[in-house]
Amino acid sequence: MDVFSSMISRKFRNIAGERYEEIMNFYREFLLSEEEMHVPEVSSILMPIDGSVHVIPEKVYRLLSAYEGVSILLLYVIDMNVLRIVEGTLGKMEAEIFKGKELKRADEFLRAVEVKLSGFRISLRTEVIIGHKGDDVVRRAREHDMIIVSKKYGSEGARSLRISPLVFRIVHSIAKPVVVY
Amino acid sequence: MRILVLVDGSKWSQKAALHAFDVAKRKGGKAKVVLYSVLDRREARAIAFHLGVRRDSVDEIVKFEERIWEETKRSVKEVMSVLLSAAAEEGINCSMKIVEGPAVDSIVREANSGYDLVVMGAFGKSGKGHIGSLLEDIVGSIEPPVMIVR
Repeated sequence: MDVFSSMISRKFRNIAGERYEEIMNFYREFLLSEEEMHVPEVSSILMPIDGSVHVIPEKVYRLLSAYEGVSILLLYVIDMNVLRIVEGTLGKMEAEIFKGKELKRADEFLRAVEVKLSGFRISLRTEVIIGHKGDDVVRRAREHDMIIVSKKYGSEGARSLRISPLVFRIVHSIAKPVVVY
Repeated sequence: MRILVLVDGSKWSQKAALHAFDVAKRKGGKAKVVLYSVLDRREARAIAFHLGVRRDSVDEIVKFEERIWEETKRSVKEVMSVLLSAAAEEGINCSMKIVEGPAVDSIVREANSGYDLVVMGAFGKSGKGHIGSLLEDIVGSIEPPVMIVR
């Protein structure tokens, strides 16, 4: 991609002509820096999933097929706060039953995705955590180059919204490409 | 694979195009990239009115509006043509489409017309700020996945 970058840089210089340096000094924030022109290598993708995500569309698999050799982490997050609320209101036994159901759902979903991705030349890992759907994803995203997330992720309490507020938070907090499906 | 890139001329939309080219290259010859720009005449009208209201005559304000509009079109075309030649040099199948009208409606209609991926910058021409309503309007209303580039 460096070929693109240097060419684009050169062409923009041509458009600006002799004024290039002066323009750069005054309006630097509007111009792509050399660093920004570089498309970072994608070797690792994080895909957070939760109970709000019912299906991963075919078009996402088609995109993933472009990233041969990449490692993908399917991270299924079960909300720790919900478990606490269930335990606090209905008791420990009900909380265990709830947790069991969630873990079973996570396992089934992840297995279905694994089957879909089985023919891809990628390295796939799955993980189920009980944690915070926002904080944990933002933290784990540091270890990855791209995030692919459903617009419904974390939307249990706000199903009518077109995009979950949590997805907005993820897009805001992570300075890496985020694919929203 | 058909990839739509939303280009408003900003550096983030240029970055979006680079990311789209990267995906296209990864797909070999199987991808087609469309650089898409929507120009809204109302923006030029608003700028002309607010900045030109103290001019001597309405005629002058109208001329000022026309100049802003022509410059807007020229600037987007320039950015598009630079991106097009960059794509051509890398052997990427790429074309451009410039339409006039309200941005969100046009983008949603185009994006829902059979693309596999939409790529857009997180911010617009006014620079880095809040990721806001445009993103919600677009991502919330279209069917293909959207890659948001920062």
